[in-house]
Amino acid sequence: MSATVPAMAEQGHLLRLEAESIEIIREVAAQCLRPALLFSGGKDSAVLLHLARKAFCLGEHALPLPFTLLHVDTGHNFPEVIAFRDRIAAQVGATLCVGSVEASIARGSVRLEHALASRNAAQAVTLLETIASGGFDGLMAGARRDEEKSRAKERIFSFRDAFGQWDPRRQRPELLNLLHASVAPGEHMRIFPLSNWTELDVWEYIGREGIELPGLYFAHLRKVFRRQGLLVPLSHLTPAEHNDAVEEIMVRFRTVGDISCTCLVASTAATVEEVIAETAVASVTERGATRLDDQTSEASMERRKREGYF
Amino acid sequence: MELLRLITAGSVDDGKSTLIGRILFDARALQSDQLSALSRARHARTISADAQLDLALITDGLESEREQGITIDVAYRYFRSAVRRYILADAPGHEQYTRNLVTGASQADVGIILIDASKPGLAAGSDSLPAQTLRHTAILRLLRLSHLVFVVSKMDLIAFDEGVFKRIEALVQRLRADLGIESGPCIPVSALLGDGVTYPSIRAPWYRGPSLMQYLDALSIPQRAEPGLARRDGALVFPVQVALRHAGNSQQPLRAYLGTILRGCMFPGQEVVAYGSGAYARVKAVYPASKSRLQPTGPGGASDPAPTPGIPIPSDQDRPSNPIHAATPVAVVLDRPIDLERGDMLGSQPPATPESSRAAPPPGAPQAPGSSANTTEPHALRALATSPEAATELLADFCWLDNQPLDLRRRYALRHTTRLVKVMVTAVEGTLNLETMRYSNAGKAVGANTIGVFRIALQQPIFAETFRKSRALGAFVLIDEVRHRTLAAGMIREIVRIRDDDRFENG
Repeated sequence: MSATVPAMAEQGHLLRLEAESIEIIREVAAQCLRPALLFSGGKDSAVLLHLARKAFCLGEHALPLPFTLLHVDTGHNFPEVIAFRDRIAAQVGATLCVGSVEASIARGSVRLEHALASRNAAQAVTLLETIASGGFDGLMAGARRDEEKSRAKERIFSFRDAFGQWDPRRQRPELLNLLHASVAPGEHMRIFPLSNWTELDVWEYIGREGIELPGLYFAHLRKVFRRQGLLVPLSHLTPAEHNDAVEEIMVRFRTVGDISCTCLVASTAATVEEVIAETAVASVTERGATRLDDQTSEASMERRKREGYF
Repeated sequence: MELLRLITAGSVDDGKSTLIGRILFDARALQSDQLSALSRARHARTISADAQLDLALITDGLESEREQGITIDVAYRYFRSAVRRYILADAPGHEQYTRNLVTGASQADVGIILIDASKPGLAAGSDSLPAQTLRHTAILRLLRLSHLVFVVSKMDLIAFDEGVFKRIEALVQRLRADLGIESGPCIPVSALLGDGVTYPSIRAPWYRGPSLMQYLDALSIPQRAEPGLARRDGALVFPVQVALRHAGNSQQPLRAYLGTILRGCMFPGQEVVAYGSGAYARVKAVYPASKSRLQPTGPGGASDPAPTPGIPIPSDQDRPSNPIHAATPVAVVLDRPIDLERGDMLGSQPPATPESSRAAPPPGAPQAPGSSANTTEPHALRALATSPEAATELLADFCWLDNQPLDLRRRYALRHTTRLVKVMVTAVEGTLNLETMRYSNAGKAVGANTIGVFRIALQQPIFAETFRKSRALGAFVLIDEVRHRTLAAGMIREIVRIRDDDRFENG
């Protein structure tokens, strides 16, 4: 690990990003009455949880984490990621609260066009139901501004109204680090402590800190087929059609989300250092490489965010 | 690799978006799917004449912005050069979005101000810069960015005419002198052709200075932009962010204070004083968050699931250990219980008395040409010797951010560092006319985007400095606690006086 990860002296930017994130996380604990941390088991949320633990620690003595861990399970998540999520939540001694899209479907609040339709957009409904039932007034998540155009304008403390909606015109001005989270009952705040991190920063930090991730993030052999220029994993949710040529190649996931819309990149990067090297020269963005649904329309993320999506 | 924060100010017409697109393109921060999305994006603005990529489209994020062809909100961009990691805040230039420029600029180390060389007035020999340039410069000056660089854009449209550039450069020199801005470069660029942005201009051989990125890569920037203070200098200032009453376990009850050291350093054995209560204590232990050693704690963990081991508080013999410096998030344990809450502040010296800091000259807001009082920064040595001062009345520059106007009858909340106190605005001393760049004290209403100077009475003291001395200790926001809105950004000009009954008593 020490061979390719730059020495401490060269990682001033990681220390500054870490300090900024920890200050934000502590601010959430100080200001929100019922804060939660969105933990999916993905790499950004693993980094966020790691930072939250460092924020509440006296040397080797971990203080109780003042956040509930929250996850919206579409029912279409990779089993190994769910297992990782449960194991880490137990390891850090946190309460994990899971909202289920399948429960929303059963309740009738979510309707899908067909059984195999992507449940990615439906997550917003379940998330808002989970927020309401838990009474959460502050939700931290690992979203970053470098991910996507409409995220580039996102605040660190992002205001959501009583319908969970994001309105770019109602966002609060943020002067220096003077962030404030007070909201009326029913409204809530979403907080993005990793706002200023890039994908490469995240990987460098994972390497520096030795943060554990699900194995899907590293190169492995998998059956895939190609669609719209993307590598689709062969699964019961994404079956090959008759003219799809299925092949078995070395791949890894750059993002891990709902099975029905998360794609792969061809890669032989089996270690953090190799992933860092690959990320540094990547020619396609993280979402561009791996999301079937984001390409649908230029403004698709912005529209979904307005509806309460993360 | 260090991190440098930039802000660009300029309107769409000045070629700001194209400049940013060019910077990202040259830094290879644009990836192939982003470039192909540019050709998918529908946009009212036309693709440049020679059918190159419209680099400006990269930065216009929101649907409403693309429809109107303007930038409304601040967008953040990330890129790396060979030597630095950059965060660029792309702020709107229109007057009606002044507040977005103010908040975007508050976090920046360096401001980039664009001047469109092809503006008819400038090309024809006008003797003043566009009003918008004056306004942007004045705002960035108000926010005390450590460096301001002027970029003369669209040089391709005036055929890289050296005469026009020299004329603009002379106007910039005059503006710098008027506003008391230390010297810095004025760089001719064509973002469209790539001249002078990352690489030196091949079409302007008469220009011998650095390209924009060469200049930025070579800048040295203090951490957290505390002017004149290196990370290790100055008396300790530690605002308490979170006070944990029950940080220990049943055998070892413990209070811990979480926060980020704002100035100076902290070490075990150090004597500290709580501002406000005046109580003294010694630092028993200080734990930098970055050095936390995380171990599994729950039943799934690999370590011994037995009761949590005792907290390793260093004994007196262990002292002194390495001091922990400013800008570091820490957890602090004191040697005795004292009255200390979120919003309180720990220092290594008692707060300054009003006499010791009264000598500071009035700060340099935009003033009439020829005034000289604001051309010199107060010397850093003074900042070293003094601590924040207890303030119950402030004179402050402000930018009003909310759509609902200032109401002098109402009580608001003021947030300064981690402290929240009740305040009233007692008087508006003047508002800035953005056309003439002069303050008028005619009783003008204060609404969205108004910049001015007001007087505030605080119900409880804050421990502050002027904004010119310290951005972190001189900035505040006003909050409407009923509507939960952020109303105004404030920059302290002067700490007016201390009421006798609130005067800090040195036990």
